[in-house]
Amino acid sequence: MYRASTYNIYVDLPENEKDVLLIHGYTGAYDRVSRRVASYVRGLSGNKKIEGRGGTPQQQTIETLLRRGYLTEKSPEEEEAFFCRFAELLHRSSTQRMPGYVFMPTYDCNLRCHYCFQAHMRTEDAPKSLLRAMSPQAIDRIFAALPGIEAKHGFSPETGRPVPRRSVLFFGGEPLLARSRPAVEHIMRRAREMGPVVFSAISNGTELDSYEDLIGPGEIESFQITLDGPRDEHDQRRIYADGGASFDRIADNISMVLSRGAKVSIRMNIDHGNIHQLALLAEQIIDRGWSKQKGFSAYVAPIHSNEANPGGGGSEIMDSWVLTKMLTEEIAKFPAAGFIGRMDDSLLSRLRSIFDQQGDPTPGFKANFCGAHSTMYLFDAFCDVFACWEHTGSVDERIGHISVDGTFEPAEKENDRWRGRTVTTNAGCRRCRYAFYCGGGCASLAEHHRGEFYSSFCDGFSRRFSSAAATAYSEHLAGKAARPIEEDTCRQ
Amino acid sequence: MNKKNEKEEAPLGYDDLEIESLNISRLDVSELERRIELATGMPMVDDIFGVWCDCNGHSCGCNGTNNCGTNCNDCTTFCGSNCYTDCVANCATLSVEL
Repeated sequence: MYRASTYNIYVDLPENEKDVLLIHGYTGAYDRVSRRVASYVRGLSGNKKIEGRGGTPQQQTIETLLRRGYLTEKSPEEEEAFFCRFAELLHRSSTQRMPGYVFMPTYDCNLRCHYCFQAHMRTEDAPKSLLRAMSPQAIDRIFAALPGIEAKHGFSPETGRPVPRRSVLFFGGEPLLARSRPAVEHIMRRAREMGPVVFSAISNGTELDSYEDLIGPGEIESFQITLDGPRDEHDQRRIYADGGASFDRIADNISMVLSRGAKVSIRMNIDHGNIHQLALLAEQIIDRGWSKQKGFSAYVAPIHSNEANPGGGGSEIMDSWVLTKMLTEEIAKFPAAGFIGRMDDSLLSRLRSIFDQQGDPTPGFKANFCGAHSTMYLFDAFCDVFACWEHTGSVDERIGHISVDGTFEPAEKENDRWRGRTVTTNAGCRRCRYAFYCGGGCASLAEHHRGEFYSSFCDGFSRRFSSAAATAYSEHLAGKAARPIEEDTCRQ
Repeated sequence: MNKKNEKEEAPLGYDDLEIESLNISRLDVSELERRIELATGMPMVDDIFGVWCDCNGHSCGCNGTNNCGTNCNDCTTFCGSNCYTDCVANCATLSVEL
């Protein structure tokens, strides 16, 4: 006796009314089935016993559906238990990858963006000591702790797994303020002493001219810099403490960074107030010649409501699915803006490669949302260690501390909380057909929106996945050139 | 030949197919656990503490140091420790031995 798997995904094909894409959420199977077969399988979902129109498929088809996991003889409970074992394995596997290091030379920032999740650190009431720069002693302590951290993830002489190239990301506050240069130089020097390393930065771009000689291949070689619209709009949003404009200075520095051969990814934080100005920003980007330069890319991300700024700090916010749809409409009106990437371009590329190469998606499955639950370590000037950059600055939220003798001392409760969140830690994700593609959503946003850390933050994922799968299949059939697969970064 | 016979003798066309597998055509759920073990380098057992494929020798040429020998198109881990191709050291037997 069989039933439809809990983890079946049915994707309508807009240009093909006869067929449906049938995708399995944990076996990795992708099939095109007739609508009649899809209807038959759907009819066997849950406790339903609804015979699809056209009756039972051929025996050979039934066997294929069983073999690929769409029909199962497991009970819902047995299937969920199997899913959880698979998820646990994926999670443990993700913790055995090389850690990624994020250094926050300071929490200070020279801009005052209305939606900033760290805005509370720079109010009159906030202790000024919080904004101090990382000292050389603190940096030395952190680097002394890295071998111990790496050993926790299976990289040590004892395990025989050599340490691969390290990754150091600068984050803040604004990490590349001119006055932080001594700390940044010391971090780069110490990192190089330990072995091969690649540097990148998330910067507001205002003072990069102070780092010109530290930018380029072999130095800090990739940057994420935010522009929140064309000049006039950006200068209303990303302002200095005195209200002054920042666009021109940032733009000059973007040109400088690109000229030095480094990569620049422009991030645009979008709400209903600036989405319709993307075309104008695209024009300004084109006019400056950035879009034709190697190493340049741009993408959008929705402004979220967060703990520091409930409601998005006054923004008219949208979820990722709405943003994806609206950006598509904007690009249709102004095709030259097509270089602006969408939230789900990476997902689209991966789905496309499955169709093009008849590949297996299981190696890309994930049981947790991001590095905050596996191998990301953020270090601040106080030698406190955090898992997520949305949750920094407070001792209560640190996952550990680097002791004076250079040892990582986990704060057990927070460390376990962050590193233990997977798709199995809430009932919704455990039974979700999209879970291994989504990873459960952002923990920070889940906690803010649902009041529960161990809950999901779906962000329109089911619609985003279905749209991406249908598009990828359509483009595959049409033989359209595939986009390169890009590394996933936190785009929340 | 009448019209009925014409239809009977026509080859099975696109419109007649009930299911077409678009990827991993030989997928069989009975082998799923083994495939998952290969993908993650870990045995699918209840307690996997201390068990980890650390040979860093994959048949694709990946040596676990971000230097892929064959530039797998769908490698999602930048050729780190989680390459899913068969291991040179035959870790495919990992789950059996445990």
